[in-house]
Amino acid sequence: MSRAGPAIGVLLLTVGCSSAWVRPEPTPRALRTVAVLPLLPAGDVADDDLGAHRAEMLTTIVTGRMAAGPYLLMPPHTVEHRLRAAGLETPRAVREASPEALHGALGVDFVVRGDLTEDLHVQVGVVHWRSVECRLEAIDLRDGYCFSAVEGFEVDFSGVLLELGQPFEGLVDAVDSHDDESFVRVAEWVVDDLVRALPEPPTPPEIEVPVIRDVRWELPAGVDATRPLGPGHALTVSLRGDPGHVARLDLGGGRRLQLPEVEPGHYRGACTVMVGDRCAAPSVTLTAATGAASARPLGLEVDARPPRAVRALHAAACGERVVLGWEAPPDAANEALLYVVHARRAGGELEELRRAPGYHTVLPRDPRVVGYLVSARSEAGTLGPSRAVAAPGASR
Amino acid sequence: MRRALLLVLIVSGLGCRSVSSERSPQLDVRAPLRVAVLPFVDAAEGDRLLAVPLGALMDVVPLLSDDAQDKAHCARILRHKVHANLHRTQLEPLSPLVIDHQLAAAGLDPAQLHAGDRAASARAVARALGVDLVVFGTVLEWDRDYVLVASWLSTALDLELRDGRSGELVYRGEVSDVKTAGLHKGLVATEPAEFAVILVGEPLRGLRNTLFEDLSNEITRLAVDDLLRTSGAAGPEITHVAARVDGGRLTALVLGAPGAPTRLELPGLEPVLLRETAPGTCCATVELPPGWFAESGHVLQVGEDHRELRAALSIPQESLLR
Repeated sequence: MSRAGPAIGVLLLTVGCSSAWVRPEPTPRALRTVAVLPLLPAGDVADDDLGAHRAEMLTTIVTGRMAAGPYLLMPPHTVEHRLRAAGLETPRAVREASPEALHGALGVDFVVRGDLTEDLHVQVGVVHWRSVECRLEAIDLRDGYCFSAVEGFEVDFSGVLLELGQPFEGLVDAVDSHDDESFVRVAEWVVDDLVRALPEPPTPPEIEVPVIRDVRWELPAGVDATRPLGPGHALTVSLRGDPGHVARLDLGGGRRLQLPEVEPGHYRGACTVMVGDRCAAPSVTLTAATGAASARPLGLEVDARPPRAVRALHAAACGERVVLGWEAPPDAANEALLYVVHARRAGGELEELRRAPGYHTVLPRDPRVVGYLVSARSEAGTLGPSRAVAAPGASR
Repeated sequence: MRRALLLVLIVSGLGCRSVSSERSPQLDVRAPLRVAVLPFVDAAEGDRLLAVPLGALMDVVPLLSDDAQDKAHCARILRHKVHANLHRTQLEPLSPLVIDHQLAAAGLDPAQLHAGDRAASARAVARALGVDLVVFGTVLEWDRDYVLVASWLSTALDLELRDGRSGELVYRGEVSDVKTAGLHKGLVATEPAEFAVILVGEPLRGLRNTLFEDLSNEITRLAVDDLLRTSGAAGPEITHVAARVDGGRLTALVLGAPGAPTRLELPGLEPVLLRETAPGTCCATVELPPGWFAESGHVLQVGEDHRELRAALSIPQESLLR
């Protein structure tokens, strides 16, 4: 190694540059809302197997950085959903869409799109070079004008012999340099610079929160709304509020059901409680395209979790009777109120005999019965798994 | 709440990077949960001992360091970077602009929410913003100690995720990392000139004004990676997809990997999370708006390794036209 090697290393550690061009005159109308479109691999990256994956990672980084900026960012899942609904299924189709088509699909003031033009990783022995280059454009969808174009390039250059006498650090850097995390680290440098170069709005954007005016729900006749709803119960919800938003019935854990807008400002839908559903406070949410939302609890509870199996089931003959006994399931938080007893006959058919509130029951002895099954039944009516026991004296 | 305790401690050979966390088994970050990252609170102590005068010296030399700027905004910087990293997940983070606006409109003071009963705060935020999860963040450390021949940059962040309905703690993690530069790390030189370059260059490296930026990027990425961590890391799998339309309702059935959240995506409708009725069997019933028509939709499954698998779903036309 030459004597100048370490010094060159010091310089290269901080290599990297960005350039930005912004339209000199301010855009005629205030920009408020923005969406980030999928970035595309370009140049040599387009031919790389990992190009599309890395472009997707770069899109995520740009989206995250834009979300912290001064514009109202349309959530990426809403962007994806709206583009798909408009027939723009692939990143390439989105890129080729006209500003009018994008404005119609997304309804935002401007979009940020771009290309990943370089994702270079070279490793020579214990020295590595990782460089990322990309360009971003901001396009006003109302006039189709590109009011900002920025390009950035960053490089991470390191290795055992370049780490100023710290070979261990250089070795680890070199080993890690080929993976996604290394790409993300360098890409974050580029994107931070590029997003900072976008012009800021003169005033903070106004945020409109959708208003819910009224929420009503209906249950089938005979269902007690003061007790938890169980499996099979149908719940119909009607919401009245600001028109043109997305209304959802939220059953917790990410399980949501859209309430279609049946007329402007009136959202209505129904769902059937399924086995396993559990929500202490179902609510309805009215969400704007920017993510701003209003929520209203329904004042109901859903608990369709099946109870667990009973324990220590046993049967004993007592003259012409059979005594069945068991212990409660181990899950005290979901205590069953009733235990359902079935008899199994020699042919295999099952017959419900009894619903017992306690932990034992006495049955008449029946020579046709070969065994008994006991299941716990929750307050909401969900039947848990059965435990079986042979009838006393039955041949197996 | 029955909660599994997961303790992960990673100490890399390069510094003092550490992650410790505990999580509820009910937390599944693969579900499309709406999440609000509240403004973080700065509880860092700041400079100590010899670093005080040297730090002050650095602050008046902006060419060398943006130390003062970073210190003033550390809570905001880390909040935005945690939020940015959450976009890598299936979670749906709400824009900080929207959060701040809606909190102000609802009369909720972020400082009081952070300092008070967090369970009650999470419920109040969830009601006001319509979110499923609420993130509280505390900057425990954000400091640069510089003693001419060596420097230490340290950052520590505490994150809490709470369920918006119950207020229960579903994840708590503390991440910290230290970046060092200087002569204390050792010298390996074969030539006098090389030795001289190291002697000057390494202490100067501690003054780079991008070190805090790198450290904040790394620590927030580390925090979200820990949140995403799942044991086993099985991939997604879809073996069968079917749809049936009856009386204005569409029922979808998907057979695939057990325990993997699966979403139904129909054109023009919001995605719906399917319910797993038996291990590997998911179904959902969707009310179709009047006049709705489509030839196909998609189902999307997210594996424990966070990979996504998408499969086409044919919609029976005769039932729609009836």
